[in-house]
Order: sequence, then C-alpha cells, then structure tokens
Amino acid sequence: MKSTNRQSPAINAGSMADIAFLLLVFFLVTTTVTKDEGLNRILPPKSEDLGPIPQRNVLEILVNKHNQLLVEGHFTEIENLRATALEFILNQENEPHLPQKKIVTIDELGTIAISKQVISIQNDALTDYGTYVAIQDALSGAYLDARNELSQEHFNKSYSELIREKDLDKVKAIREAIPQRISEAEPNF
Amino acid sequence: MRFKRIKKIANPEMSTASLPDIVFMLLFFFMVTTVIQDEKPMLEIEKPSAVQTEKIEQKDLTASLLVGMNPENRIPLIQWEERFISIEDLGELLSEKRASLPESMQGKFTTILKADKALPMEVITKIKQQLREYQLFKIQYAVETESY
Repeated sequence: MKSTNRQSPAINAGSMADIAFLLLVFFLVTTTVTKDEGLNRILPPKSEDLGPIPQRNVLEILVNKHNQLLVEGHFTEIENLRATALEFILNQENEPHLPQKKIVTIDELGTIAISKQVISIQNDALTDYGTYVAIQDALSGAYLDARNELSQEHFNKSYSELIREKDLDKVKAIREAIPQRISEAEPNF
Repeated sequence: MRFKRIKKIANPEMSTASLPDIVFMLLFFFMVTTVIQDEKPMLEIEKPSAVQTEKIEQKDLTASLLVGMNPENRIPLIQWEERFISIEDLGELLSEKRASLPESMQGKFTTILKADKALPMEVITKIKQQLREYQLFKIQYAVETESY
C-alpha cells in the first residue's frame, strides 16, 4: 500500500460566525439582568435595653396608617426627612434640643465630640412597606451625608471616596464617630 | 507636472475571518455576566424604590423571600424556593438553610426580603420578629434602584 502524505484540506470556517451568532442571540434573549440591590440592616437582638435615653437624644419618627410622618411632633414630608435627620445627627450648633455630645478619642480622628444620637421609628400596623423603606432610605442618606461631612473635615475627602479607596481604618473611624443607630420600637399590634 | 492616472482598483474583499472571534468574545461576555434566575417568582411584586442601596457580593450566602399579597383575598403570601410557606415555618426553614453552609460563613448569612411596596408593615414586622427569634439578624430589603 502506498501511503501518501496528503495535506489535510482546510475546514471552511465560514459558518463558524453563524453558529456563534446563534449562541449569542440565545444568550441575549434569555439573559435577564437582575439588579439585586437593597438596604442592608441588622436586626437588633431580642432584648435590647438601652436604658433611659434623654428625650433630646432621640429623633422620634411616627408613621400612621395613611403613611404620614410625625417627626418630633411635627408633620414632615418624607422629602424633608433627610435634612431633618442630618441636622439632628450632627447638631453642629450644640443646640439644647438636639443630641448631647460626648468627647471621645478615636484613632485617626483624634479627640472629637460625637453626638449621642438615636433615631427611633414607630410605625402603624397598616403603614405601607414602601413608606417604611423610603424612611429607611432617607435615614441612610442622612447618615451618609453626616459621615461625608465629618470625613471632609478631617481627611479632606468624602466618606464615599474613602470606601472607594478601601481606606478601611479611616472608614472604621468615621463609622465609630457616627454610628448608624436606628431603633425600631417594639410593635404594639 | 504629470499626474498619474488613478486606476480604478477593484474593491478588495474584506476578510471576515476574525468575525467569529469577535462574536465569540461577545458570547463569552454574556455567558459570564448572565445570572440564571434560580427560582421562578410565583408572586407579582413591585419592589419599593430607594437610592442608598448596597449590593451583596456572595449570593450563595443568601436566601430570598418573596412576600406579596394574594390579589383575590388580600392574604399575604411568602414564597421561598418555589413554594409558599407560612410565617411560622420561616425561621426554621431559613436556619436549616444557614446550617447547611460552612461554619465560617454562617455569620454572613443574609435574608433578602423582596416584598411588595403596598404590603402593610404588620406582615413585615411579623417576618422580622420570626427572623430575630432564630438569630437571623442580617437582612436586606430588596429595592428598585432609582437613578439620580
């Protein structure tokens, strides 16, 4: 037998693109871009007794079943909650009706006065979940603003930038100075 | 000065040999980014909207609860892993799920609450109390992100 060293014929790759396109179209059609984002919270342990807290240290938010807000006894629109909460958290003017301050020493920040703020939410059984989330969102925003401000003052950079740069020591210091304290009153229904 | 006559050149054929490569690249991109939805939603839910959102990086350390309302009789329904469960069973089922994770990861276990924005807080509070009872403290309220 004669074995000839034949050259293998080139495979026509022209239809390769068609196959790839077919697969591509399939994935394009089946892909559903799910944006899984949300507000992270940690539920408080069951018996959380903070002891008596002076009235001025608590921002009391009451929500009724018509989704109306009463903040410290005043009707408030949800759009204004962020600003109100920010003013409460920082208490820059040391006003007597806003939270007390306590002098602490934190690494990276030095000795500073931090406010003893607590935000309390109490909602009705028939309050919409949407309103509740909107309140939580506004409060998160207020804490972010407060942290940004403090960070700008000390590090000349916003808190969001610190997070982006993964400067964890500074992030921790800011968090320690302005802890997110949202308490939810035990429901009475 | 003499100019050369511009000769009419026949259009050279464009090589399409690299086309499959480009398409394959796109294909791989989509294949990698695709998140296959693992569970079919049996409830129609309109999530509330918010701005200050965070993402969860490790999706395998989470359990998603869908909370909605039966449109006919307005009874709240909770869906977990393609079935409806009652609020009373919720804590137990979720702690079992958490116990199946490696021990070092159990602290990161997060419950994602995908609830309809029209639900009364009563339902949500009951779920939260149940979760707290079983020490499932980490929770995420799933929202629709608002763009600035």
